[in-house]
Amino acid sequence: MINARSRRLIAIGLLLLVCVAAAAQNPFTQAPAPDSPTIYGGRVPEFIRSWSRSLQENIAMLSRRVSGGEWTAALTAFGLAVVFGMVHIAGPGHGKMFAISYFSGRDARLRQGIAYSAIANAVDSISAFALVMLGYVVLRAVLPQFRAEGPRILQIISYAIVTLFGILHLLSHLRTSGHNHSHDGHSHHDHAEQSADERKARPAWMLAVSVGLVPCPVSTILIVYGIANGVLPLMILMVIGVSIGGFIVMSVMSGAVILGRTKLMGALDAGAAHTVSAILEYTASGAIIVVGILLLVGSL
Amino acid sequence: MRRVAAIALLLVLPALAVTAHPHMWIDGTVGLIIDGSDVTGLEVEWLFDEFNSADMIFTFDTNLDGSLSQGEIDRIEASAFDHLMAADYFALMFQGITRVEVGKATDFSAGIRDGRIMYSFTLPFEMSLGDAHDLTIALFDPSYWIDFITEPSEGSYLAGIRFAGFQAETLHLQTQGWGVVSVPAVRLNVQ
Repeated sequence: MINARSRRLIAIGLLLLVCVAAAAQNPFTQAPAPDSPTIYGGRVPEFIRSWSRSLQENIAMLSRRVSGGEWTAALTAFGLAVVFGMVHIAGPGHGKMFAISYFSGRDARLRQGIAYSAIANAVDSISAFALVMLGYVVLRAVLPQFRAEGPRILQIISYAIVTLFGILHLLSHLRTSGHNHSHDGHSHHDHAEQSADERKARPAWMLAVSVGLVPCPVSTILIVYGIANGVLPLMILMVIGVSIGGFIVMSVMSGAVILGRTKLMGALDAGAAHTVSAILEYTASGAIIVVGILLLVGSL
Repeated sequence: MRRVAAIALLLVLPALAVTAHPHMWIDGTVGLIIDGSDVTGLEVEWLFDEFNSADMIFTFDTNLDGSLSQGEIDRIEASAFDHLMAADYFALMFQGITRVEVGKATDFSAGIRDGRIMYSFTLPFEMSLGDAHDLTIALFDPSYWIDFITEPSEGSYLAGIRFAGFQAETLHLQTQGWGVVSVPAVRLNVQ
């Protein structure tokens, strides 16, 4: 059992830890170290590298065939785009960190993870289309000096919203914590239920929309390619394919986190569950804030 | 066991979300510039993937004539090449375990080949051909935004009494946050 003051100290401590960990990756403050953080057991599977290269080459080749009138090639290209999206998003980035942080820090259902993934990927595609149309087509003609600034402005807006979301998320945790402990007559179970109920009111779609605002560069260059080569409908189809691939992988990851958290909480007794939940909540909020700030600063 | 698995899952998954991964693919070729019995530089050519090429053509081919004028090439050099000196133009060269330093790139040019943007440039360095045995060259972006492959522009060189030939090599290089990736490289054999 931990009181409100201890929870705040845990929150501050975890935030500092996340800050230090994040700062260590900043090449402007520290030269890349030979033993910089590694994933996938330290070795990126060769298939991710080779498949990504091969898939984009084949999509380009099939696009040329479609341009030449072979419309059936579009179906194959669409299938490859879905696979490309899965392979591409299986790597780091693309807002998965925010999804993982969010769902590891709160009780959620599988359908919420799926909805989050669908919204994030759909907004990504729409945003890519809007960015290209606005930045590459309209601004190129009307205000060419702003054309290069489009992606950066969108990044600043998106990361500012994500950071604000994380801060509000953390503040609401702290407020809930103080509120719960002002009623000492209630059981932990009551507190947990009350807390969970309050948090259910916070929609994941807001975070998904914020994250999706920054389109994947792959989506934007596909649309630019479509405009430049007169195959825009085909490239919109490709972007949809890539997004479906991303949606599949992001749904699986979000689902794994949601199930993992549910299993973990179910296996712990009430006191331990409360403590672990508090740690996860603050870590999740802290991670969203810190990564949001780092991305925001990087985009300024 | 379930508890351990759940905790492990929660701890490991966020680690997948730290940095970027390839969004650009470049086919690179490298060749030696030989003067007498010395190597005086490295000729480098980059051929960008079609999708990123479309983006660059859209940006830099301002008159949309499908080719790059000298003015457009100068603009590319100023805004999409010169600053890469800070990253050694993504050229990694090792003589044994010693890094070979290169100077500022010269002879920059750019063009459009089959819808793909092409850069060519020279990286000056000096070394006798005899010392160039085991010289290993790889084009590599440590941030792993770009996925390069490196191939020789010519298979072999004859300089005086020496014969030099490239052979394919695979390096395992550390990226910034991505872990270790396998990178196609070339290694020089001098006889």
